[in-house]
Amino acid sequence: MQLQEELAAVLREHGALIVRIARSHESDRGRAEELVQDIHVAIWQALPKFRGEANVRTYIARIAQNRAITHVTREARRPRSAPLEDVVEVLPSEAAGPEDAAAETETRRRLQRAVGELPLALRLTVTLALEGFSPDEVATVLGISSSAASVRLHRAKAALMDKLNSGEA
Amino acid sequence: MSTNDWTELTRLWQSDVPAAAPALEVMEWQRRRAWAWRLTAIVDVVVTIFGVAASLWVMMSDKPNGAILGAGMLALTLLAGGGSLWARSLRRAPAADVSVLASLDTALHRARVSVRYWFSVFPVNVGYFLFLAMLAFVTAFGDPPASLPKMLVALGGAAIWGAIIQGISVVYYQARLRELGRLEELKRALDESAP
Repeated sequence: MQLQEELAAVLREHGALIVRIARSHESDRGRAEELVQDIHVAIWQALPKFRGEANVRTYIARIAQNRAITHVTREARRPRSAPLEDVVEVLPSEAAGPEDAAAETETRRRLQRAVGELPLALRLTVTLALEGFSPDEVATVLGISSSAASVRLHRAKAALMDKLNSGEA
Repeated sequence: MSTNDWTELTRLWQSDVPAAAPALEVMEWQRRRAWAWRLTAIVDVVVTIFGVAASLWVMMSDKPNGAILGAGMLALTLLAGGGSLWARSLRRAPAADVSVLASLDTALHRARVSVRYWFSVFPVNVGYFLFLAMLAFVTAFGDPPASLPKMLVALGGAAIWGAIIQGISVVYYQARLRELGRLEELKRALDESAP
């Protein structure tokens, strides 16, 4: 029962992060849900081993990214880059009116599409950056040095901005 | 790229807040998966036991070429059972809570072993077809039993079964090759950033 409560608390706190990471790697809604399930189950199995040497958010992101890699590399086809028309669920916008809200939704879709189209190595890094992870935390998740993480973050952010600015996404 | 741009993108990204799954639902998924896993394992064990028993029965029977046929069946049954057990151990995902690079190394090792294994299945399948051809030859031209048509039908069925397995092996082998290629590409990309 204690494990169930721990899992419930983790999912309440980090559930959205898990889904966002999953969707960044899989644009097909059905398959993204399967990936989310995979990640949830992996978290449930890994939770008893969590000893607090990293913070929970880093631990969850690591599990999510590992499962996403397994998913992406095992998929028979390349992840599809279909528009994420029906997957955006947003917080109430602080934008002034419906036009601003629509523009924000469109920008968010473009952002999600651009992230989904990045090569896997950059996507891993850029999703962590967008989730607000520091270079040290990115290094912990990826298992690389902090300086390597900084280089990766710089490249990933630049690649994302290029994609957004070039209007490819 | 300005800091403001990035801050805005981060805000925009995090404003997508999908609902989290209830913990009970997650545990139910896990139970279902564990049952599916157990069920296929049980089927594997039952089929292997049945195959071994049938092979021994054929070997000890007084049927023509029973010893050769039984020994061949036994070898193939044990090979298939062992292969299934081994493949099952490989299909388990590596530990999820290690770093991405460590997980990637494990996945790469497994994918390489998997590709090597499926590559080695081809000669085994060739051996299987040679074995069937030899049986057909011995059966037809040696000392034809009274039940020759039945024997030939059985051999034909075994050949079709072998062809199906061979087809599945080719598809699986190609999928594992693709997986290995993607993992190696990712590993290269992650290594490139090391200063």
